[in-house]
Amino acid sequence: MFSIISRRCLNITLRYCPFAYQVSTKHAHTLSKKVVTNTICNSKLQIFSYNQNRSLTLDEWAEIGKKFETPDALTPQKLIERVMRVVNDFDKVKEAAKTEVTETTHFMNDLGLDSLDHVEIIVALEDEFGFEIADVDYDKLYTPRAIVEYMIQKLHINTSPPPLPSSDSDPRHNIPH
Amino acid sequence: MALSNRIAPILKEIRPVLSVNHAEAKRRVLNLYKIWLRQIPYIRVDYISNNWTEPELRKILKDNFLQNKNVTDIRVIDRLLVKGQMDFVETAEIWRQAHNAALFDRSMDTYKIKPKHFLERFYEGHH
Repeated sequence: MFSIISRRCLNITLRYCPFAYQVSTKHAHTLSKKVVTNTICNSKLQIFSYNQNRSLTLDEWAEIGKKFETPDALTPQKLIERVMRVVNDFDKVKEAAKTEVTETTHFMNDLGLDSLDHVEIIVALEDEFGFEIADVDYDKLYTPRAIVEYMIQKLHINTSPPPLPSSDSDPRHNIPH
Repeated sequence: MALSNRIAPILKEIRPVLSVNHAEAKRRVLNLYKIWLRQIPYIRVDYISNNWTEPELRKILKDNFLQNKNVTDIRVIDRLLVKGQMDFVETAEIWRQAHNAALFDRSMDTYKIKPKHFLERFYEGHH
């Protein structure tokens, strides 16, 4: 009897009440429940819902964490790869350089590019690394080696080798007495 | 010879249009080239009826800039820069139409090209 009444009430509320909750079947197979109850109060139907708040599983935390992922820090090796890829993908470089493009190939002298091609290369680098390169710096970027050094300076890439593990005590704690 | 010694120095200097020396003019030229380069994907779409691809547009841009590569007078370079910048604004704001934009592309010229080689002149009948 009570169940019949509750089902009918549910139908009515879903029609009239704009904030009707649907019973969630997402976690139907798990222990959590979203239980919807109906109450009739002063001939005005209201729906209350309570759910047992369950903590998230590790998979759910991982899903959330994917939104906040940052890319790995650039190392000089990866930087060199990216710069060489950008330079080698350039049409005129492919035509001009039948031999391989190394770090010390000068665009103007060795490959015979002119200043307009140089501007195109710089635009490609800007698109790759995501920041504007100023006019005064165009003169510096005539070889891939120079580009790499410029990027290391601008992107604050750490080139020092990682500290070797040693059994000395931490020098930060050597407080002079 | 004597007159040039007596001309006041102020008359020997010329008022610059935009830039004072070749280095500044070169910087302006490269900047103009850069903004045209960045606009190329949009030009392709805005004037899509010309059926340009991006490499074609880059070639067109390069040819237009190389047309004036032998100019040495700074004031002329500045005038050309101003014209180039005005053309850029008209192209970017789509105040042009497909035909106007296609005027930059010499390969779409429709006037009759004069024959250069023997065989073409032979076909024409002028040997």
